[in-house]
Amino acid sequence: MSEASQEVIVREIARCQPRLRAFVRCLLVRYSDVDDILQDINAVLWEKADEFKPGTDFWAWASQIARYKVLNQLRSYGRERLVFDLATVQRLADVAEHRLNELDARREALEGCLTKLAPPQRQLIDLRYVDGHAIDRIAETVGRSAGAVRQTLYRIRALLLECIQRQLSSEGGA
Amino acid sequence: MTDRQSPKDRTGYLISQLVDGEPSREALDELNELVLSDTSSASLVVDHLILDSLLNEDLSRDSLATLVDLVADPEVTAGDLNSDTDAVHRETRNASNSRRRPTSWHLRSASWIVAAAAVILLIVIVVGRTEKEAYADATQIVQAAVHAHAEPVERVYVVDVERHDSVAVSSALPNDVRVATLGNRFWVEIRSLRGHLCFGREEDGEIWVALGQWRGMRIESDEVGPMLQDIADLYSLNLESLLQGVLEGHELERPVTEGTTRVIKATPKSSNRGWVRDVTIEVDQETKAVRRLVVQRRAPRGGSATVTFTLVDARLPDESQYRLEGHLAEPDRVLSREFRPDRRRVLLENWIGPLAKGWIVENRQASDQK
Repeated sequence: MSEASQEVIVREIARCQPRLRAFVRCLLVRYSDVDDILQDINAVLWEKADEFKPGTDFWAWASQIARYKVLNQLRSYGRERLVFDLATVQRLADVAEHRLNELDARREALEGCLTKLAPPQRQLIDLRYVDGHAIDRIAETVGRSAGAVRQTLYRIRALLLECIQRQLSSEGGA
Repeated sequence: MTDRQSPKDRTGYLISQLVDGEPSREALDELNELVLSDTSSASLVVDHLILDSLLNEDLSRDSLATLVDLVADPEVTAGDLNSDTDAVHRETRNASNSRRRPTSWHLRSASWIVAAAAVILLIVIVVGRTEKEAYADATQIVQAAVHAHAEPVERVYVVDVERHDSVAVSSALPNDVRVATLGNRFWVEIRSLRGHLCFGREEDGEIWVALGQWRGMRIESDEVGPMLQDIADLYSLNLESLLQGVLEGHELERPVTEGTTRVIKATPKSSNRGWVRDVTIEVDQETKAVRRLVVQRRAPRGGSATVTFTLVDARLPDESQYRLEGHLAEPDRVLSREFRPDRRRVLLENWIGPLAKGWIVENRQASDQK
């Protein structure tokens, strides 16, 4: 591979990282597994860099590799590991691959939507994502049950998704 | 499915188990079935997981709040950050401009401002009302340090926080905060197990923030809000600027010589007032550089902490590190007054919390007018 091609591949791999991360997240039950598999995927992308045809859709190529890497990884896990069925993974990958074409727009919309949350909602989101606290600890902090915290977080994320969708629709219609 | 839950609620429950905990084998089987049998459920699962990924990526990296927590109160929680920015700033300004010290502080939620104010008060203490001779001597030492600070030498300080209560001592330990200063410019690097974050100030007063590897922003000098200015002064160890905020009410000890260092110690007149206990500034006799700056303070939630800036290196500067571009990798996106200025406030607020509302003055005013 020429030096120029290497540079293109490195740049494309770097550019794709947020999308790849989100893609892998969609196929795994445990968030803690994402980084390990993402590292493996990056290694495979680099190994197979010769196979990428410049001028074609890098994301389409990379997401296929990521999909098969995840599937192989899940096959290697024993029964005791909690993972999606392989058919489910394929289904989720199909949906995610399409959705992630607009990841940057989603991120920008999310930035605005986060500021619209009411303070208690933002507090929960911060405890969960900024501090990275486990649900049990958040429950202890806010004096509610773990189940109630999960439910509230789900509702907040649903609100954020609605807000994101509204923004994407308005931008698309503008 | 339980009898009491609608299909929609059940889907929500399963997704919440997936995103915020480890689902049971039964719940996972149910989720598998749902995804395969219902397209809209599959989409909903993907939407939530993508959002989870974005939130993790955008919010869970080291933020400036980490530095704030580290410097001021490692135990502070995100919920505590929901304080009113202007009120905090008012308090901070009062501390530096008024003769009357606030009798009580409600700044649990604004520990980094506490940290900034701590150093302002350090100067307050150092040059507070005291006997003339000691005052003059201390002032000379500090002025010499200011002069030394203007030399083209990069000085690197490590910031340490030691908590004196049992709970949170270990929580700050994995982090490494280093401040490199070059005249009025500085850049701060925070490293921890979770990654790293940098911010700094250019010679013309413009402040830049590298939010991860690919995103950054510029805040021009005339857009820098007073709070951000205080922080910039704090981390550039800009003693001259900080000296402008002189207050009375503290006792200054006569400077003493310890080896090659001149040491100034100061204590508040009343141990019951404020949250700063003792302050020590150590200036190298030969180079006049500030070698150590130690602030002992009460922690917002009780107990106390010692914040120490220690000089660890003096060297020829790497100029690129004082610019935003030196901390970003392509393809980067830099927000500025010219390029999507309003996004900066949103990003800062997301990374740092509501306290960052006042960091960009012009944008805040424009926003208020809308």
